[in-house]
Amino acid sequence: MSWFFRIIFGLLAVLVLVVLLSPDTALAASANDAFSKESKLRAAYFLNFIQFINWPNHSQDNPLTPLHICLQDETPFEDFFRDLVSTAAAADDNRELLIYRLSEAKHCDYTYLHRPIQNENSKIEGSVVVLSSDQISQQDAAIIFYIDERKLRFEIDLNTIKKLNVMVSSELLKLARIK
Amino acid sequence: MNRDSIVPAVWTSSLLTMIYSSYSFAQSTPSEFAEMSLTDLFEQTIDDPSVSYPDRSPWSFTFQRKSAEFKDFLEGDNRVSEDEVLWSGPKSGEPRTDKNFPVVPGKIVQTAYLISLGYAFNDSWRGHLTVPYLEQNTDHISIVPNYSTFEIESSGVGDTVVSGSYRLSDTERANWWVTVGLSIPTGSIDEEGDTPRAPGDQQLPYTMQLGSGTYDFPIEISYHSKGNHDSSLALAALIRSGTNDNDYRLGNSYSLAGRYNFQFSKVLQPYIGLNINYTDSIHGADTSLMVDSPYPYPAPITNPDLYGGTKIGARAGISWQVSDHYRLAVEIGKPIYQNLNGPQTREDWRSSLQISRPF
Repeated sequence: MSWFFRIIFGLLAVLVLVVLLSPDTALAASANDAFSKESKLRAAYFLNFIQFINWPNHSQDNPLTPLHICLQDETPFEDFFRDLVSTAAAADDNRELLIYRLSEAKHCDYTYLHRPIQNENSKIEGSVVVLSSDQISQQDAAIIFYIDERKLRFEIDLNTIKKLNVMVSSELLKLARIK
Repeated sequence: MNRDSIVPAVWTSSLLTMIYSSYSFAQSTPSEFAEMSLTDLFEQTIDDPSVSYPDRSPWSFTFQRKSAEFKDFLEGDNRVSEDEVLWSGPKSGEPRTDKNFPVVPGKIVQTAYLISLGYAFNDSWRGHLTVPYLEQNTDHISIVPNYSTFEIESSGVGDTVVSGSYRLSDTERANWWVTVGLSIPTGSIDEEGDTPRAPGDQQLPYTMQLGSGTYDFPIEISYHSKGNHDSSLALAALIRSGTNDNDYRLGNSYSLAGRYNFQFSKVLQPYIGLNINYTDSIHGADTSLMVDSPYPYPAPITNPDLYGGTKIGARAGISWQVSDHYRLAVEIGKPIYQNLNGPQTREDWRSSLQISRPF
């Protein structure tokens, strides 16, 4: 019988070594140092929301219309989000996502803000604005992240959504706190 | 019940479960986050696995009293009576074989007091130092004049274990830990007592020694599911190395232990568990336990081949959160199946009392 257990434990040892030495594990260690999990979750949510929002200029008949995404300025969030977009299997394959800095953008369909903006209100007019925290305020923000019991949650402002004339999926609304 | 078919099946299925469940390892890279659904994201905490929280003490302390009692005999999974194992002597006409002995143990009681100190270097790495103090007692019957009944005892510090644990993953649903340790042979393998083998004190059998005499390597991989069904599974091995100063090495042991915790209240948590354990027989032999005869082993516990086997045990316990920092747990266990290299004294029951200050 003992040979069987030796083989099993040999296999397990190999499995553990593979997990510990895999590039993903090594990357994980360095990534954690640079960027908090909370910020990564914001970025992942921000990308995920796209699947549950239907913009008026992105109809079923014209699914290839690019979505103009605006980020505020150069931050680790932008680097991580760009990596997410390039690797996202969950994102809509039919839609091109164009990422801009807010300062360089001419038009934004979907915007992420981590601080209030001063002079670029016109660029986000008609844009679905996502705020990184409920500790900051920004007029016409549609989705606002907040923390509840060590978990990242989000609030959706239905009045703003109505004004923007976008359709938000009931699946997203079910998980949101409604304002 | 067929051990050869059941035990490998359980081990294989547990291995496959662990491989299959590897998707739950800690998300950290962009590709891992990109694969998460909205529901997956919703279940995540913002706690970073690599970050420690300053309000927690990095130290843990555990004191545990474990006790086990062994009595009656099994050969394979068949009961053997004490009369069959005790050889009646040359005048009785009963033939001496390698399955009967002039001396047989009646009841073996083992008690271990374990003190364990732990240190959390961060949320992913932990170290432990465990020192046991052992008390062992065996009563015997024999056909040797003046030793018709006698008792042998031993006590002292056992083998010290230093181990390191690494958290492979921690999600809202489950966590995985791997532990690797070194068992340092601080326990004596030269305990002596008065036995019928000769006048005065002689070397005691393997069961009565306090340590292994070898450097051993405990390894464990454990999975803890934290969902609505709080349960855990641990696959562990104790790998022995080399040969000790008395020319033997205890058998390797391998175990799979599962536990289910009932959500009775925040303070009281009853649980049930099942464990499967396989232990090899002893390799080599301590020749001082043998006698000059065609049958060199005077008692079954002096024969290195009559150790080890497979045990399946059930256990039940309750864990009580006494205060913010201290937890008390009591547990009782009973084997439900044993297949032993025998004739060997079978395990009757075991119990545990533990007070701990977790991390």
